[in-house]
Amino acid sequence: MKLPPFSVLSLHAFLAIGMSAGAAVQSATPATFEGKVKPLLEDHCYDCHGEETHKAGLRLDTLSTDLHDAKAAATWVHVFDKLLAGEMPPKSRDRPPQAVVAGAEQFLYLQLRAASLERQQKEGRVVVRRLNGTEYENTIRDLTGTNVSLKEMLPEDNTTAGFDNVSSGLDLSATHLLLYQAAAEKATQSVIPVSPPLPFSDTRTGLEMTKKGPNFNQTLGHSCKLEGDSLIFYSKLPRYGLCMTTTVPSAGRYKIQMSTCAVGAEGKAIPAGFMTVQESGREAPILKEVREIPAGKPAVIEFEFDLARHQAFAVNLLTNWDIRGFKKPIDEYTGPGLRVDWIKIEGPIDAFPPPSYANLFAGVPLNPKSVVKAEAAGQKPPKINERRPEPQWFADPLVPDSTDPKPDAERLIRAFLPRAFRRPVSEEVQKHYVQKVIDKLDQKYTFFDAMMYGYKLILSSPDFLFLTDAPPNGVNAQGDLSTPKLGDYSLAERLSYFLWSSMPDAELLASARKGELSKPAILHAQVERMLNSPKSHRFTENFTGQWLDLRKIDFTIPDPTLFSDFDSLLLWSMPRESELFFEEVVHNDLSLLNFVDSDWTIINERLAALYGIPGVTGNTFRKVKLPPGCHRGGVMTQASVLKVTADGTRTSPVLRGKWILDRVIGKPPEPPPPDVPAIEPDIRGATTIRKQLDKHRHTPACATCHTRIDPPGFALENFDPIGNWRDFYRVTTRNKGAQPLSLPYNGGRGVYRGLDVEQGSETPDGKPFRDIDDYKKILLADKDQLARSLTQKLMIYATGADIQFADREVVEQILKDIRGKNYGFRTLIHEIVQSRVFLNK
Amino acid sequence: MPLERIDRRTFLRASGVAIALPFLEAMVPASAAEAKKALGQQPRMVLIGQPLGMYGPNFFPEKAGKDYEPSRYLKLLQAHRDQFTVFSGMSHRYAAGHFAEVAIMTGVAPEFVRDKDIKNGISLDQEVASRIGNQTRFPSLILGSGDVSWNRRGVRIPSEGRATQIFRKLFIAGTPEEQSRELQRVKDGQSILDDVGDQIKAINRKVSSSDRNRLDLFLTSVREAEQSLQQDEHWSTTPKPHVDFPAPTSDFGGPQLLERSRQWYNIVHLAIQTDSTRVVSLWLGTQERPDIPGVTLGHHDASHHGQDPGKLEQLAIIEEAEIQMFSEFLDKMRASTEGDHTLLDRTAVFYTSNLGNSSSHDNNNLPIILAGGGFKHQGHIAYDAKNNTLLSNLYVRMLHQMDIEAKSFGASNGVISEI
Repeated sequence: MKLPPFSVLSLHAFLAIGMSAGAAVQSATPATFEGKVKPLLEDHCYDCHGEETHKAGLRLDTLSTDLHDAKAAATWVHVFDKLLAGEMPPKSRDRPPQAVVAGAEQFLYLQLRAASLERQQKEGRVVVRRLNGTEYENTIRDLTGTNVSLKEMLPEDNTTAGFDNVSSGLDLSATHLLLYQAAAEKATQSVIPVSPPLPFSDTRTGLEMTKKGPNFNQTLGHSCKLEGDSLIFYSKLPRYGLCMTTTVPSAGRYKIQMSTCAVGAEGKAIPAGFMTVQESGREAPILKEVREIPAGKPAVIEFEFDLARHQAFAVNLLTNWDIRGFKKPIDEYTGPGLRVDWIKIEGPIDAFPPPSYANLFAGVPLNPKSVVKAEAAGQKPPKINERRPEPQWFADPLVPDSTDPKPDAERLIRAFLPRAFRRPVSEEVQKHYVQKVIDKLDQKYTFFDAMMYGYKLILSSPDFLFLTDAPPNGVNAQGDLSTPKLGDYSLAERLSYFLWSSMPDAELLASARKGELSKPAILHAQVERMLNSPKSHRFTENFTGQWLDLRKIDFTIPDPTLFSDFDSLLLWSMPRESELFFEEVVHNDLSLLNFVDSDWTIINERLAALYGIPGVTGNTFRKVKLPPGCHRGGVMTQASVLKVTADGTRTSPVLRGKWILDRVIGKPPEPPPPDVPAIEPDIRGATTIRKQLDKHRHTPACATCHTRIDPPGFALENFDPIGNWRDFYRVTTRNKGAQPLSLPYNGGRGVYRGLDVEQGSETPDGKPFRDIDDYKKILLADKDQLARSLTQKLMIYATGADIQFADREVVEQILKDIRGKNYGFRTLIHEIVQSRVFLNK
Repeated sequence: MPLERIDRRTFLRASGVAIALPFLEAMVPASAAEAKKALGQQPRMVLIGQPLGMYGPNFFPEKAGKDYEPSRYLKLLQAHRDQFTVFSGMSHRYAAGHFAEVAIMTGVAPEFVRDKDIKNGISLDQEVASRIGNQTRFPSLILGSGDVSWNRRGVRIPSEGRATQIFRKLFIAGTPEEQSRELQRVKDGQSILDDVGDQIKAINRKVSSSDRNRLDLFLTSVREAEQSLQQDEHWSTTPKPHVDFPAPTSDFGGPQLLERSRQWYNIVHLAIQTDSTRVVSLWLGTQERPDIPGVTLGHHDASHHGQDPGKLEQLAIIEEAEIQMFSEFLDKMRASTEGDHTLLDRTAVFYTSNLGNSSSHDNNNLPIILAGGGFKHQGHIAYDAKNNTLLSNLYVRMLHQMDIEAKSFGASNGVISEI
């Protein structure tokens, strides 16, 4: 659409985006680009963005005014935003008359809004969206009922607008297409038991572990010891010598019992980690559960774990205890430790065949492959001893073996299709897939091979892999949507991928079938139900994993000398605090401003120790009221965020400042110019970071952005890379007169007191702050902006598309609605779901 | 600029999804690199390593340049003097002892390699395999007993330690059942892709114009996947190369260091010669006492010599044997020719260890030899022993020699341009 003559449509919407009423100018005469915008550009913009110079690569005099041109429209949005923020024309230049600016803003707003809305109505906001790796894996798991891991097989997904479920970033390469086939094969295979249950049981005493099991040569007598048959360890055991069971011969769910207790003079319980190990010594164990083991007499505790073939179960300490510094014989050591008398493992305890088998092969008997082969060849099938050893079963595994292949295939494929495609499937399409499998049977494929082909085909299909949101009534000849409104089944999908990161369940689909899902009351009730389901933890994981970068929690390893007070228990606890905090806000409809500041958090003893909060004992997370002066509250001061915004050794106000601008305030800085080297932090401790960054403030080119970026970073300067509060830096270089620091468990390696942390800074508009507590107060002065930032992020995540120009009025409307409801976060989720942006394609 | 490395994965993610089009016989050479390929002059790469270093004074020559005086060990390689460069003063600057093995071929920054803990990146062999691997039956071979090959997601790719198995995969035809299963997998895959393509076209008629543009891109990927399967089909119907070499009957245990290493070198030579793969990583060595006349200590024990002359001599005997076998491998690579060139000319053969001074578990001043590969060899290039040049810079150069454009690799901060 060419920018047409101005016709006043609705000033209301424009006012809603925060322009002061006095600046709005009613126009009596029809407005045009020539009348409203061009004069401003000619007088105040072309000097820098005209024929001669193109500052910031921007040239306005030749910029197309055709807003159908997505690129030109995006540039006009940029111009509009700069005008509205008052950033352009720059303050150093002549100010254009206020009325002229307001007129141009108003004109641009209405035209950009109309163009964006028109595009959304015709083509939809969200282009066809592929399931990302997480959604793919969850969907297959929910569909088949196995816990197979598939995400690791697939290429990593791109992140767009902060999230990896945004459709425009989710490309589909040839590699994807080939790997989907392999993944579907793995998933199908995973529901089929290799053998009838082969009962397995093994018990090992501590003594036997050190004899038969892994390598204790270097630890026995140093960090662990034997007492009778029991193993007692005082320090995290190395991965080549773990306290573990033997490996299990086949995959399944196993029951594990162990007799254990905590030891030590203090008589305290000790948190221990319970893990699975694939190849002891080579692969790192995977931590599955943390439990506190009480002191006193050994007691038997129980677990149930899913183990893969040849996996073992292991227990280890998660904290560093300082036995390394203990020079006397180990028998005299009285520090805390874990005693393990024995571990017993037995199983598999799953039903046979597992329930997941029925999801793909209901009613089909299982037979050893050799039997199936002989039958197919018309030979006498071999006699199979069900008790034969497990390697023989792996060489000749069970396979589904139908006596009535074609009817069985038809029945199974017809049952599977609507579940896989998340909607009713037409007779024509059902026939298509059934015929494909029948063809294979006709080509003398075994029943299992033909079904495997069928499942691979269905799970490779665009109807499974994509959220197409094709309109129920199709498109016209120009490819325009008949209606932008999502069909009921597409709406069910959008809801379930938003709140469950997976396919809709039967109830959602039933609601869609009745055609009532888009009714506000029903929609509200479904969202409530979904948020209350345990599956909503996936929303927590995936949204906070990206919004708060919790997925990066173990990307860096804190320097073991400088941060010897870091341990695996702390690493495990960090993201849990943030997730539990998030869920507390969601479940109780607390104000989203809690994410910026709160007088409570949810922690265990380990985090309480880090935060210096007394009175929290034990590993159980609980809601705690924060004592005054502890400098915590909100997400920015949580150990998880402090860790992911640092690099393990150093912190940088630039990176943390950028993080706050982007994630909390919602006004990310523009990327740095390409030719500017980053300032390398000097960790010898002779220059303060503030002096190093002073360059930013005194170079005009840097200052425009860094006067915004650096201050929030300085507000967090009191927190070290693992989340400790600090008044001074830790350094490994001893400067004159520096005191060595006494850190726990660092084995006497030299760490010294460095410079003091210089507190405080001031905001770009000159508001001084002393520390993070002050800074949070400044942030909370603009509650709407904090809410706007989170609303936009949630809207992007909920719909899988970035915020577009026409969405702005929806965001503003939602803000207006939640403002009076204490900015309740659960309310916000409902508002988004009920909004045009969510309900339309 | 260490703080920014946090985002390395983001970069890799962005660059990781593209795959090269498969090599098709009818393809018209479009560049110098293509022309070379068409002439059967493909560059190859063999990365060899072992875990216990080389005793520096016996390994490094004193003088730098082409006219260096050979050290005790390098005397064994003098027949190939103009065919290789020895580097001193080079490493990844790790401080992780034996554990640094996991990053020797990836060259990630030291802060990602802590004792028993690693955030790894892609290894050099896999980087090459991801670019040219689809042109041969095997994208790469990962041989021996190491943990040196990692994919782009930083996941370890297991090595094959059984020479008997590898030889079978390379040169012995599969059973008819294995062959027909592989062919069935490929045929099923093709048929699935056909159907996926049809369905995308059908959806195309039901969606809006911006969706259509996107679906058209997806269709291109379907076609590329089809080409890739055609390539698989080609290999599954092409007989494996016949080699005039007895199939190995033993994988050899720890003490048979000589037999085992020699067997591996032979297999690598055959795999390269038959163009079964163009990238190999091979991890050799033993911690145990090797069966070599005169050796009474375990290799690991001897490496912790503490300057004891007796232990040093034991160590020297073992290390001389290792270099001797490496020299025999170079002999073989030179004896095979391809057109006007020897196989060695076409193959960058790289030898190193994750330890420099194994007595003190030092990861600096690694023993490094780069042979063949068409480099301008310079004898001995000596860098600063106190402030090591990054080995990843040499990896960047090696990528260039494979016709792979790369600005950086691992934690590189430049490129070795002398060779």
